[in-house]
Amino acid sequence: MTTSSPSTIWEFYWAFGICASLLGVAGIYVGQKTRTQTMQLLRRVEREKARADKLANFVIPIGLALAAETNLDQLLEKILLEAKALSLADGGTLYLVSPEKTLRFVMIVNDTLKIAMGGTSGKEVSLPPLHLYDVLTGLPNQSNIATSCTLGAKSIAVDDVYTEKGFDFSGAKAFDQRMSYRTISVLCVPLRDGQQNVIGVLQLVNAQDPDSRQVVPFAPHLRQMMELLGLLAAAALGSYLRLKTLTDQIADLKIQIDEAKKERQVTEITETDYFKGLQTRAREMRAKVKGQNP
Amino acid sequence: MAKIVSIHSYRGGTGKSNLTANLASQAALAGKRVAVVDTDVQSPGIHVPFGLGEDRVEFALNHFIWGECPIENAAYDVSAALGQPAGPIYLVPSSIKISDIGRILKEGYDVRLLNDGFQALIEKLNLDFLFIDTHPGVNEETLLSIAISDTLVLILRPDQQDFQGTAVTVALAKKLDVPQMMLVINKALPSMNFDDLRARVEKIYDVPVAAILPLTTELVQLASSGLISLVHPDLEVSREMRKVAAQILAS
Repeated sequence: MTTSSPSTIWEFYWAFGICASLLGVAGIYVGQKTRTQTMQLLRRVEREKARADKLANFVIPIGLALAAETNLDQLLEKILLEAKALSLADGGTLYLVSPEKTLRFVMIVNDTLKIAMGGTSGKEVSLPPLHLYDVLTGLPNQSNIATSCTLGAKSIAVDDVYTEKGFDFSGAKAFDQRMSYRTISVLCVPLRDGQQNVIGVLQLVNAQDPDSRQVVPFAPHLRQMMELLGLLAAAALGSYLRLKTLTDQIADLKIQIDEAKKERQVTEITETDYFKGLQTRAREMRAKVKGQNP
Repeated sequence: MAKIVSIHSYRGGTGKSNLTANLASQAALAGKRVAVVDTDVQSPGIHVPFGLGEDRVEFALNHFIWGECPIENAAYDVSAALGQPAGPIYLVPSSIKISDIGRILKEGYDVRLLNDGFQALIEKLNLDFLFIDTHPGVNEETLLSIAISDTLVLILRPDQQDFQGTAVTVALAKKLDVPQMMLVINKALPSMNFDDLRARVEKIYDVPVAAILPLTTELVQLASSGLISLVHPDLEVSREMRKVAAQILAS
């Protein structure tokens, strides 16, 4: 038989109290954890909804507007400015792939520095193009983020240019020094046409937090959205460029007559007896008609 | 005095028969007595826009050439195709029977017979205008048609081969002293600069461009089954065709 002494009873109550407290704490902990998870889930749902809303309300209408654009400068400007606005980026650059395998700067904008070159700004972008392949060795230029993005046909995001080791940002750093600017986050999105050819690159600089306006990295969902916008922009740009090529070919339509060949063919015919006979008869006939209708 | 109008192209597929049918129809609508002769015996086609079925054709140009009938017996009144009051319009088709086409290709024919036929047709039908839908390219028959024409309409597409071939035809027509010559550029893409194209072509050939006909969806859809200038009178291509007809009528 097991009896309990008063001390044992106290110990029991003490132990029970501890256990109850522990359970209570655990319960609170579990409850809080569930609430945190629920909140996280809710936030995720809200983010997803905001993303879906942004897609439906911004990206798709922008895509449609781009497809309707018939002026190249306006089209390029729209692509860059809409992407910049959607991602709250401070600046951006649009490049087009040239037949010489370079990336040609077609437009540069930066809000802080109040820079706008190319597009409808009336100011030409005077920067030299970026070579996709090394001029001397012929090797692919993977050190530059924009050329690497073109060659790999994949988007690339860098959170901080100054701590990034994978790419050579000496150009951006020199620009910063010259302009008293600080390039931090960068996102490069390839513009792939229907045939999966990269026809250009959209580069965005310094994403900003919507509330604090602090420069932040480009969030994954933003990157995804820019990739979608890149596809729509490339489709619009691709069809514009195809039409432009066709129009240029027509404008270049050469009306060249090979005179020597023509003379040879004409002589071959005019020297036949048949032609000479026809010529005589035609002259007689016309003279007769002329005589009837002086 | 009847006017003879030949419509010619250096290569096939330029829209020659279609233009001939529309120009002749416009002349008939202006109250003129008109006949169209399809001398493209190798690949006849102008009977289609005029809706002249094979079942109605007892005699064709081939039968006249073979001495089987006078030419007027091969002329069919196709005025009904215009669907509105007009001067009578007759069509002398080439036979579309394979055996007839084969025979004429094999045996050939004396092209001088054509001239006799044209003159007889003008006289018998008391014509104001005789339109000749020629065979593409340069051969004895086309040279004869060009030689006897009062007006020569050369139709071409804006491409290098047509430009070169047309230069040869223009040179020959000039040597045959054709009184009126004009160029019609067909199937021009709407994105082309028409004024620039006209100026450049006129400078090279020293021949007026009477019209530039844009490539038109409606024309492709119609597929020669009707007369575009009557089915779709408001289209640019129809307006341009009327301009060409007006120049021919005014000559």
